[in-house]
Amino acid sequence: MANSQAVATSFKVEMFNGIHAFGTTVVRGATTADVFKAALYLTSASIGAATTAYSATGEVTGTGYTGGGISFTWVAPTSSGTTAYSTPSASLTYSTVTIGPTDCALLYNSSQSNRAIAAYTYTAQTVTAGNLVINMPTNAAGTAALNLS
Amino acid sequence: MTLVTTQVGLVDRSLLEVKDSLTEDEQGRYLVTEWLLDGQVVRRDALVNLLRGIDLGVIPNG
Repeated sequence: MANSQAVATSFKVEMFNGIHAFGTTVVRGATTADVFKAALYLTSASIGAATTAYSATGEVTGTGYTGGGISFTWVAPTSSGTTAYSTPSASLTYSTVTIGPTDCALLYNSSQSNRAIAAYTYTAQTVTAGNLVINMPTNAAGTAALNLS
Repeated sequence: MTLVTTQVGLVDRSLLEVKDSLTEDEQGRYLVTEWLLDGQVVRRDALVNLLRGIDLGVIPNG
């Protein structure tokens, strides 16, 4: 048996669960998961890697859509091989809305000052008095919405 | 009689023409359903199936 340089897979899962704090962190009042939301953005917005938090700038507006988007939960983070992963536990569904064109959904942490998590882009969609449903990819290593490999 | 919610209110399903379009690109696969009343779109639904997630170790540029 030889030693090998590696990041512990368990650490990767724990990163998702907020177990480790390498720097100044926040005081948590409970051990429950945070509240997460998904906001939609217009094609004219500039959401991306530099986005640090949810902003209403560039967010879609329209009938049936509530600013800030909708809440969702994550599947409990887990791992397969050396990849930790998680995905929203259900489709992101915006019901009976008139919005668009939107080509981006920003997932963010509503419990932690609306800090940004990830942005997912797609072909521009305009919905009229209908439903916009975003199905996330399969929750498995490599395909999940968030992977830490 | 089945009523469908549209931008002009509830409309009898039998009066609506429905057009589905399925497209795909690198990001996802999309099913758009347009509901037409007298040739005018009065409702449009979109189903976005994202095909891939994000790997925190491989952040795309941009």
